[in-house]
Amino acid sequence: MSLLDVSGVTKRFGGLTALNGMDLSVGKGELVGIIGPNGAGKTTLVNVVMGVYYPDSGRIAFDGHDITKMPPHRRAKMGLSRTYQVPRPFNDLKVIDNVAVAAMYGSKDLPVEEARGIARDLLEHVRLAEREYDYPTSLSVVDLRKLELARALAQGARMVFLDEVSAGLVGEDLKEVLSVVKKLHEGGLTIAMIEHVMKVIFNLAERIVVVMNGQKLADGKPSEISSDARVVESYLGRRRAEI
Amino acid sequence: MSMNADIGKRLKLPGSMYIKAVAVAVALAIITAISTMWGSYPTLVAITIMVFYVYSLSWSLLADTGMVSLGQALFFALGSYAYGIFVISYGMNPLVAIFAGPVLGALAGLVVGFISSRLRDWYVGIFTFALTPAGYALAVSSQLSPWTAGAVGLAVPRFPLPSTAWLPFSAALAFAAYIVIMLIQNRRIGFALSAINDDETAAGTVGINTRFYKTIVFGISGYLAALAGAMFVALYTSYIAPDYFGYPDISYSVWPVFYSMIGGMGSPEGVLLGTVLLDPVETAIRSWLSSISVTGGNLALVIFGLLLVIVLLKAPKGIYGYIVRYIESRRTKNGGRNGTR
Repeated sequence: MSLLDVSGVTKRFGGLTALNGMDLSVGKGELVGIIGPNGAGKTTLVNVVMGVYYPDSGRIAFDGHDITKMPPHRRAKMGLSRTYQVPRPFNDLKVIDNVAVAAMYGSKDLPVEEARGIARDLLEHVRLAEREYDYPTSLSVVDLRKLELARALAQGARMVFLDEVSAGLVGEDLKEVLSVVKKLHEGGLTIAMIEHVMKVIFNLAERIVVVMNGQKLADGKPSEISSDARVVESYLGRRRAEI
Repeated sequence: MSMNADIGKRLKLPGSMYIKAVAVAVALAIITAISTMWGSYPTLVAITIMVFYVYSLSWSLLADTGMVSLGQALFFALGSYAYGIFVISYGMNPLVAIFAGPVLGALAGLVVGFISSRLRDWYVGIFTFALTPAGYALAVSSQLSPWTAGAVGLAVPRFPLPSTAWLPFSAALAFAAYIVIMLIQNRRIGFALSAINDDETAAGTVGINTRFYKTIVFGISGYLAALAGAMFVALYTSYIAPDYFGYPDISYSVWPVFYSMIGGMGSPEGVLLGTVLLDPVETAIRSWLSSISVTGGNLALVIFGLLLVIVLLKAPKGIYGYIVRYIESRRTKNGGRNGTR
């Protein structure tokens, strides 16, 4: 049974149709990659799933419950979580409290000190413990990504959307963040990751969904996607040449 | 880096909370003692400091949750009128009315908050600003004049405490308001408010019911502003005028903005600093203007407006934020780039 089910979702912004009958289904424990050209509707898809916007039509179900019109905080309490393309930490809270606040208000309502305990463990887990009393404004991009991962976990997420977790990272930094992602997946977390770096997604994902013009263009194993004529023609062909 | 972590651990100590509370209590006690010994006029000025401290705290609580109220006088005046009407029309004991009246401010705050929580950014400011003429119109309307006395205003009876107790009483209320703000900031709810202030969308995504908390905060803010309004008429003016609604004279809505922003956003201690520094200046300018027979003008607003621009250019978190930053940078010797909280 799938954990997340997006079916026929359409979202318009004025004259622009960002999602046009989008379908996406993610199974429990899966690591699904979402790829597609700029403006394909990937980030809008995340926003609609998280409840930042409500879709104009279509249905979103999480763990068998219809969440199409559910406010964001209730989705979070059900176990849905995300990271941002451009990290969005709470800059007036210390690193530890950025994570702790998610534990306080996530799937469980926890008191401050207990939440801080969880936050400390998670910061250890993502190797950010030595920065726990700093403010996010002093963190590097790689540390901000790790902070967002820890925050997503702290809320007791069962499924996380990673919106371009590799953006702006190269070399060791990229490897480190990806190893954290891998570790989380091995721990049983369901992950949907939007990615522009094909090497990353083809190595990591068990299944890849290609999004184009607000619709699902293809859906399959990495090997199937890389040989799909439509995908190669419309997207991968160009991208492959760049890599 | 280890230095930073060390400072952070020290700042995180719950002890710092108590040290700050003691410091504020001592500051309020000193103001009370000096003004009382100095004479009756300084005592009166000190009472306005206490009133406007409570009032400024009500505004900064909203601002620290990402909501800029430009119509805070609505709640202030509601508190004044509720106090006056409870005492005059219903014969309530003023000592009870000063706490019961502001409940009306809290209710109004919840309603305004319920709507404001669905608005973003400056729309909250526009909405709250637009409410003040409505309050004024109600106060002067003929239907309500049996209670409000319309444009004439209400004279309230003398507050039933010996006049020497008025300043200590208002200082105690100011300290209570400080404690309320400090508890909010340091408890679980404070983390939610801080997250909402930083990034409302991200706050919702980690599970915070942003609309609920914004509504609650408006209710608390409405109570505090109304308490200030009740204190103002009970312990200072003995008279309630419709223009307390901040219309047509907007200054009633503007003072808490100036005091909070110049003193220090994000910290009740900074708001105290701003009120203590600026409120006596405002009073002095006003009495000087009336002594040279200039009426209608509000020179203090001009001066504070310029001062606000200068302070915010040099210190976005106000004078208190600047001081804290300076101390931290001296300690860490890294330029204090780690913020001020």
